[in-house]
Amino acid sequence: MSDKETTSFEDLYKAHHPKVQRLCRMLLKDSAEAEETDQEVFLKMFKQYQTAGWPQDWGAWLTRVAINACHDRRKSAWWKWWRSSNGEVQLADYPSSERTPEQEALGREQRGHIWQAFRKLSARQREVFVLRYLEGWSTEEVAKMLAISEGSVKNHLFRAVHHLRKVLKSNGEGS
Amino acid sequence: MTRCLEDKALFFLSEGEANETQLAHLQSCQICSKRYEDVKQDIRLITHTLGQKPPPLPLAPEWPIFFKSLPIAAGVLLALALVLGDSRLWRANSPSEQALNGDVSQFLEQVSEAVFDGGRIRDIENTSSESDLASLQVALGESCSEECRGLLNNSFVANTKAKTQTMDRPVVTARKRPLDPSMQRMVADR
Repeated sequence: MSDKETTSFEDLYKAHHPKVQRLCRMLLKDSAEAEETDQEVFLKMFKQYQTAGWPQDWGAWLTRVAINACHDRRKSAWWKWWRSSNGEVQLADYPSSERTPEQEALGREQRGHIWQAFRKLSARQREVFVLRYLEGWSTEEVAKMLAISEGSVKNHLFRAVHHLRKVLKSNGEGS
Repeated sequence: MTRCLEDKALFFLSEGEANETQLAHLQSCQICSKRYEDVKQDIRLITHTLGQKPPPLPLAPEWPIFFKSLPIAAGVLLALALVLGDSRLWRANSPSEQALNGDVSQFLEQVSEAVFDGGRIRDIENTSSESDLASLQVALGESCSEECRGLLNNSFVANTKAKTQTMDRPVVTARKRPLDPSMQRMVADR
C-alpha cells in the first residue's frame, strides 16, 4: 500500500515508527535522547501531515528528518557528553528482535565488541552504515539524503566495514 | 595472472561495482574468491548483529566523572588566574610610574612655591623666630627693652598674617628646593 493511499496518521505512524526509532537509536548514543528525537520527528510528521504538501515517500522524508534531528541533537548536546558516562542503552522495543542463525553463532561477548566498535565509528560512518545496510537505501539515495557525493558515501562505508570487520576478526581469533 | 584484489576493491565488488578485469580475476583466483565471500559474510553478520538489541553498556565506574570534571576545573582556574593576574597588573606601580609620580609631586611643589611666593614665607619664618626669642626672654623674666616690645608686636602681626595665608594655601608640603629654570622664567614673566 502506497503512502498516498494511507490516509490515517495512525497507520503512517505504525508503518514507519519502528524504523525511525531504530535509526535514532543507532545514530545517538543515549537512548533517552533517541526517544526524544523520535518523538520530535513524528511531531514534525504530524505538522506535515496536516498541510496539503505531502511528500511522495514518507519513508524517505522521515529518514531525512530523523537524520537532521540527530545532527541537531549531536551539535547542541555538549552537556550530554557529561552524562554519557552513566548511560545504559535500553533494551526494550528494538524492532527486529528475532534471532538469526548468524546471531546465534555469535557469542554475547563478540556482539558486545561489535556494538562497541560501532559506537566508536564517526557520526558520518554510522549514518552511512545504518542507512545503507540496516535501512536498505541504495548508495545513491544515501548520498542524496546526506547531501554528499556517492564516492564519499562509499568511502565512509568502506572505512566503517573495514573497522567493524577488524574488530570481528580480532575477537573471533581471540575467543 | 593479475595481482590479487585489495580489500577496498573486494568491498566495492560486494557493492556491485567492479570492472571486467576485477571480475575475471575473481573468477580465476580462489584466494580472492574466498576473501570476497568472507567480506560478504562479515557484512551480513555485522548487519544482523547491529539489527538486534544491543547488549547493555557496562556501568561506568565513578572515576571518569572525576576525569571529565578536570578540563572544566582547569578552565575555571585559568579564568580566575587571568582575572586576578589582570587586576594585579593594573594595581601594581611599576618603577617608571613611581618616577613619574615623584616628578609630578616635585612639579607641584615648585608651582606651589612659585604661586604663593616662597621668599615672603621665609621672611615670615625668620621674623617668627626672632619674636620667639623675645617671648622666651619675657618668659624667663628678663627685662624687656623697647626693641624687645617692638619685636613682640611684629611677631604678633606676622603670626596672624602667616596663619591667614596658611589657611588659604593648598595643602602641599613645601620643602625648599631650587626652582626649575623654566619655572623661574615663568614667575619672572608674571
